[in-house]
Amino acid sequence: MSIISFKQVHYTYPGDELESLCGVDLEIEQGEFVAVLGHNGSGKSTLAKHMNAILVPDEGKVVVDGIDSSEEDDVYQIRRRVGMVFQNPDNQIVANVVEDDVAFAPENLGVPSAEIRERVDAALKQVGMYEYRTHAPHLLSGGQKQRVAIAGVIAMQPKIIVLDEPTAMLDPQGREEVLSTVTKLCREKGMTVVLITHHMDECVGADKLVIMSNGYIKAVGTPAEIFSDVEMMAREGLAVPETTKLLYELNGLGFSLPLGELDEESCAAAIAAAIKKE
Amino acid sequence: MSEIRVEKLRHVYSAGTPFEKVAIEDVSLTIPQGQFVGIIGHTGSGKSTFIQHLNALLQPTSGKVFVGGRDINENKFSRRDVKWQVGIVFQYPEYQLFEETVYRDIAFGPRNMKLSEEEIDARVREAAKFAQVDEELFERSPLELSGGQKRRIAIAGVIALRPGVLILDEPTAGLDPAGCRQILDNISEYHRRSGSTVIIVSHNMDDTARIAERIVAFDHGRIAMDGTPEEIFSEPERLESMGLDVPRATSLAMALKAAGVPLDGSIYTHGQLLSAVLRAKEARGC
Repeated sequence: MSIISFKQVHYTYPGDELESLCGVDLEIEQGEFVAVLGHNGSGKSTLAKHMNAILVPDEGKVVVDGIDSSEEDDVYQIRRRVGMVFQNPDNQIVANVVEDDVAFAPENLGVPSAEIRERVDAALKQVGMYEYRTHAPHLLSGGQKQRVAIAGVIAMQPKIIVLDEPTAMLDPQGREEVLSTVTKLCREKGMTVVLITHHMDECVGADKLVIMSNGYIKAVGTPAEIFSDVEMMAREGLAVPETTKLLYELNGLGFSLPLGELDEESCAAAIAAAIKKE
Repeated sequence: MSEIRVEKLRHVYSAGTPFEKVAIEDVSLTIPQGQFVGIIGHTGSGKSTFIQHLNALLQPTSGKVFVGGRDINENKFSRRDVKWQVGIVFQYPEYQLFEETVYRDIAFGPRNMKLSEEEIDARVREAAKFAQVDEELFERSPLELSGGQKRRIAIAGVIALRPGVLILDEPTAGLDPAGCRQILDNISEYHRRSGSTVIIVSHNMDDTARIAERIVAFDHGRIAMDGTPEEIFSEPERLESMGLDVPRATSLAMALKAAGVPLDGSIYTHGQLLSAVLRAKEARGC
């Protein structure tokens, strides 16, 4: 059974005429790394907000770990299972010391204090910020702050972590820190990760890539499958990795290369082999 | 004319306190009128501190900044005048929109310059055209528009000052790929048509390689590299040692060379990469 299931979900923001989600069906499996791409205003964030019942469907159904999000009494059960991380790290940090910030959620959940200590230490170690536990958050870099925000979510011990453009405001190094942290949580801790992003290079390592467009899910597949459809990506105003773009254009000029070679080494190897065969 | 000349610039934050930090040290450079310059550098390398000196938002701890031959920190008048000559679009400028209508927001700068109503109107329309803000949006509230539209309105507000120098700090941050391309095309078009100097600060090496004619790399508060994109991106190891990326085309070209594909010429844009691979194929075919 899927850990998150969307069935024909419709949603319109109050006062809007247009639907922001127009009948979305989506299944996310336990332990999966799912990336969501789409142009500005495509409904990506609206989709994310349905995953922990910040928004509930006007029509249709969202079920998270067996719980229907429209049951108002169960909202907190969903929130304990799904942690959210947003774009701006400065809006998510509440305490003056890193470890107090991370302890905020488990304290509110009424976790005994000895266990809070363990959870906070473990969470900070997982994001590589343990050495900074007594620092003031406002003096950290963007990538470090975002990792503290992620630690705060992990300390709740959720099954799922949903990140809405967590790297949009970060420099390349900060982006790399955040991406490798969430990848590790998924691959080593078995956490389900949903990553919403504009950066297609952050999607390359995902199990499943979802393309949103004007409130619809346009395509779902592995990154290699989705990026290989270069024309569809261009129509959606989205970019494809440099590797796919080069392979695609070479094919237009007489090569016949596999478009799914996303990483540089395998792309280079495919081109080298094709040239040697000539 | 708006030639920029910076001489031995040094800036120290919180001087004389335990938090004292030298942000800029011994920076000298000249940017001729009309040049398109990309500034790159790791976070904390001094790029933002540097650009804020170019319109006297920050005053040097020592050293001088000249715009059009005039020392901009000479007195309070020179410090005011330079703000109309050198326009800065900061990161996430859409958070600084505040007027009730798009038109009034773009008109805010010219109005402060105490121009006539006709002149203000002409400038608002011209700036809106440059930044591709549709006149149909003029009476809408800027706050209800999309992220890309807001960003273009904020840029129009600075262009309306008709600055001889336009500086943009991370103008594409947070936009989707189509939005990024549109903003960069608008900026290139503005540069081409107005003849203004444009300085763009960016982490995105692909964009910088594609649109700038000169690239200045900051590292630890100093200028570490200064040259054409070709010169800068021919030293990928050095860029990496400064914590910077190389353009994706350069990085893929390196992988191709490692895989035994002989690529000639310098490669820092996608077009160059494609033609180099085609040349390699033809060389093999002969």
